[in-house]
Amino acid sequence: MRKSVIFFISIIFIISIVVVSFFGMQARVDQFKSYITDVTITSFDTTVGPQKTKYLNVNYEGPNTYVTIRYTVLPNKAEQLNKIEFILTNNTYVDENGETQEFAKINNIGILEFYNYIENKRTVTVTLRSTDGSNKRDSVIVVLNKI
Amino acid sequence: MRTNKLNTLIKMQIKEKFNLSFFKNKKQALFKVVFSVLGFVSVAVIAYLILFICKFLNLFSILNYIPVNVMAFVLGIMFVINVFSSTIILSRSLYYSQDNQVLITYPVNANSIFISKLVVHYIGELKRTFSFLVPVFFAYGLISGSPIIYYLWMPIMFCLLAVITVLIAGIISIPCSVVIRLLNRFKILKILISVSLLILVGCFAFFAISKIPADINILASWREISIFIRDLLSNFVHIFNFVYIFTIALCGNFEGFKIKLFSKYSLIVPAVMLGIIAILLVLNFALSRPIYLRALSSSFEHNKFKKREKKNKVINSNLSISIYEFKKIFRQTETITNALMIIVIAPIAILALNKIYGAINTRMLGDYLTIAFNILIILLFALSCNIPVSSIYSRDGESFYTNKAIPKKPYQILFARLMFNGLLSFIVLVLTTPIFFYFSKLSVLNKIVIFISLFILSLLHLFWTAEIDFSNLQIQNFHSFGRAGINPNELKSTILAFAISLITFAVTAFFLIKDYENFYLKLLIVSTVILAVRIALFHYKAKVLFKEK
Repeated sequence: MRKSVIFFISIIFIISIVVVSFFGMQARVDQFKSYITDVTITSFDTTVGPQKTKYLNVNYEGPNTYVTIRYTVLPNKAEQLNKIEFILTNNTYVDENGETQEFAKINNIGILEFYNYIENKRTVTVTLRSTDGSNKRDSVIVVLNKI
Repeated sequence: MRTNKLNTLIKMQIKEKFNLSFFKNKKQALFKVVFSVLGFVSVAVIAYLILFICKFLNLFSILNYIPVNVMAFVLGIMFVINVFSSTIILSRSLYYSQDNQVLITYPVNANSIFISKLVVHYIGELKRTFSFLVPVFFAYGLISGSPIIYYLWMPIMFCLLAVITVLIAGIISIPCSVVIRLLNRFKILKILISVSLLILVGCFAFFAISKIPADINILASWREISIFIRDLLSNFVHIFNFVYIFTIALCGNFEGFKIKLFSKYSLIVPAVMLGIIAILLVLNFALSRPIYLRALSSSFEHNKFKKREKKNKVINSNLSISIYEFKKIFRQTETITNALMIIVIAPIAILALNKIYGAINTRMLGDYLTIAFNILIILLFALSCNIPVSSIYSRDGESFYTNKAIPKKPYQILFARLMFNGLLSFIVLVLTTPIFFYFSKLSVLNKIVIFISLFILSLLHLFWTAEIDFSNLQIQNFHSFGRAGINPNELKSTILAFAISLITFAVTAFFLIKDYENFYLKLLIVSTVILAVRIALFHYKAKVLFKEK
């Protein structure tokens, strides 16, 4: 076989793969969707135990104490910020009247606010999770210390 | 006087190797020039399209251009291939060409023969360079917006590069000729090495095919593919820096988005090339001078012809012609090597292709395209087996007309020569189509019909090519040494092979997409009818051409 014939057959070989890939491929709905691969809370002081549970110590300075929960999301794209949410648990207590009182809240950019009067040491659990179906999550236990 | 002898030697060999008879005829000369320009333009257009698509897709750079390292890669690969093929051609020409037996009797010294062969090979190498590399780089100049002076500068640099290629090949041909002599002397060694190489190539190919991922999605992984290609080019340029520097001297380099042709390398590189040429010239003469005359004469002198005493057997006259033709072919190493190469490469290529298609999640259009492309590539391999038939009668040279003395009908004499190539096409189809069918979802009946259709199309091309040759015998090209430079019949046969394959591909893709009923059966019927017409024409023309006037 001449060099030129081998060359042209090789070119047609490559073109055939490219054409089938571009025009013959079955389109998937999520073909171009970029899923979150990892969420990590970076605001923590220590990790405890084999599960590496994260703890963040915060000094309570009175009502309107703010804490910024820092985090990273991978892949690091701007649109990923819409696919995460913060969930706050253990942010209520039962007062002497038997009523449930909420003492902390968190917004969607990770600003945790302790807005109610707290007498005792309290802990809240902040969970950061993805909402695009990739089911990635991370959490930190915020220990509120009264000065 | 010596220069005159050298000039005469060179002119003689050029006249033998390159058919220059068109100079005597203005019409032929014009046709030759137009054809050459068309060839140049075709290659340049294809290269331009490929580069344009790569630029559009930002394949080689996130910025919208083709970086110089791409052309450095192309040039590096082509240089290695050219040195390799030049070594083989030059080894044969310098030491084993049949015209050596004549040249050695002339009143010239061995050095003159050596120089003349190098010069003639250089002219051939220039021709090859101007038919591929120069049009590709011409296209690169157009797409990069190179200045006008680039189109004068680039061919000059390639002329210098061709000299280096020929001189390197000249040096390597010296040990190469020793190896060829050894292999010719010990045929069993030749067979063992050939079989070992084939097994090695096969194993490597299967290993590479096994690495094809199970899920290929070019669109989704486009970014990773581009990064991989850019890293590969970057590593290549890092390792083979001299190739990159030569390419910068040849094409210039980008400053921002504009290409700057001339830099410090534009002076340094040509100077270094001239130095290298001088060193290689000295090496060529120093190494060949003591051994060339002896190597030249020992390649054909003292040839021992083993005569086997065999009892004559009476066999059927039709069988006799066929056996004779097969024996002739099996004595031609080049023909057998080419045949083995196609038999090994074709199934591996089809396996790789179908493995890749299997990894792509195709929809219905994709399934139809994979069938059409499989048919196209299988046909290309099968029809390329028939291209040597374009000189099957011309190779006899002036002794072709002695075939008239054989007491057989003309078409029987001509037909007997086609059996080997017909059998080769059949073997290629038998090896490739089962691989294609294994990966496809076709019914058993459709598979049988497709196989028969492909075989009929390969026979169609075979008879058509044979007709092209005996209708337009290139006896002048083959008259003395059984080898020709350029054969227009071979070119026609190659174009015909591509045309038949592409038309079959287009028709298959079109009718499959349109969901025509019984398309494969209709393809079989149409190809059978065309084959019948071609065989009838072959038979008729053979009768007419062989008639005594």
